[in-house]
Amino acid sequence: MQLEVDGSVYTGDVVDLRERRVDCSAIATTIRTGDSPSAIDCPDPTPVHDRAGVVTAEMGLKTRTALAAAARTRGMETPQDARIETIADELGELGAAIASEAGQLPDGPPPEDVERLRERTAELRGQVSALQAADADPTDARATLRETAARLSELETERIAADQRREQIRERRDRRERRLRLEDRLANARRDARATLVDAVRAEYTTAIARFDEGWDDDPFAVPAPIAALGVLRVARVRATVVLAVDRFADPTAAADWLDAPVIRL
Amino acid sequence: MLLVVTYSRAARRTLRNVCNAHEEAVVRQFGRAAMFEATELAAFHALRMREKHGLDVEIDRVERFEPASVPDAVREAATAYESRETPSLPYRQFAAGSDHPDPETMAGEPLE
Repeated sequence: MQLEVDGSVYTGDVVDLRERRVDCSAIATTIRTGDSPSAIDCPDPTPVHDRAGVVTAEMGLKTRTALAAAARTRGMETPQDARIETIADELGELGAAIASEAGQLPDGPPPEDVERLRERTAELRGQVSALQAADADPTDARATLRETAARLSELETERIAADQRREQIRERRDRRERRLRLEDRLANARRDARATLVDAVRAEYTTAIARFDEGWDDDPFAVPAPIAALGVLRVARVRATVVLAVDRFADPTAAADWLDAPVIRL
Repeated sequence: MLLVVTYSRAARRTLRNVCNAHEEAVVRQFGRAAMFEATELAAFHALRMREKHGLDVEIDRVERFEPASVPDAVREAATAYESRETPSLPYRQFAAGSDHPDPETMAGEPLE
């Protein structure tokens, strides 16, 4: 790797920056995103590096998930892989179809409103007839009737359109229901795959963390996060630079050897 | 009652939170759907969910079902069929040649 920090350039597999006061998260960001203030030339980090590649005392770690990622860096596959890919593909298509749905489908006027207006129109029609029969002037009543009838016609048209849209809405929801089912299935398949991967490397991982044994109890996934991270890194094939901010090795070179990865010691 | 059905993981999560926060209003929960007492508060929460998740939330109104509101012939057919002698006999055959309504006719009749 080649690292540039505050104007100094460091080359090689092991860089010891303990004497310099360098910000750990700044270096981590540089490795992960290639941003300044420092610059590093090293291979791109993998998902396992994103989780375990910066080892600090305060870190947290989803150990099983990180270990599954480590197994993947070793090219390990699972019986769920084909299924995962198929489901992910279909989800992609569904997502595109859903995203390309055009426009809102507004609700129409409530049927009671339409009915009420219909009754009102009939009432007004009756009034107009009554006025005419009594030789009175129906002009005003007729005007009101005309307005009301026009409004009724509007509402009825909207109501019909809304009923037609109902079918469209049902189809959209059918699609979403399928997406939901697939998302659940995908999550389950990924969980199963993770379990398979963890099983495949569990022994290696347990052996790795035994080096740091301090007498904790039986669950190897419940050891402190920095220890778990080191175990995960040992299992993984790591090419990007690991940032080490804990004191668990004789020296940074011993760490780089054991991890089989470039190391920046902070 | 109000029936709220969700169509996305996010909407399902919101529904779960609403049900947890308002147990008294929940009549029944079915995972991605739930039935609430038809109160203004329930309607308020349902509409909030619709605002938040759009089409991914479906709200329907549900009534209690009264068997007495179903035509006598239909109710009698159901009772008679359930106590039939031949368990493997499909209803269509059971009804044919009897006074019981046939399935096609019933399918075309909306319920009052």
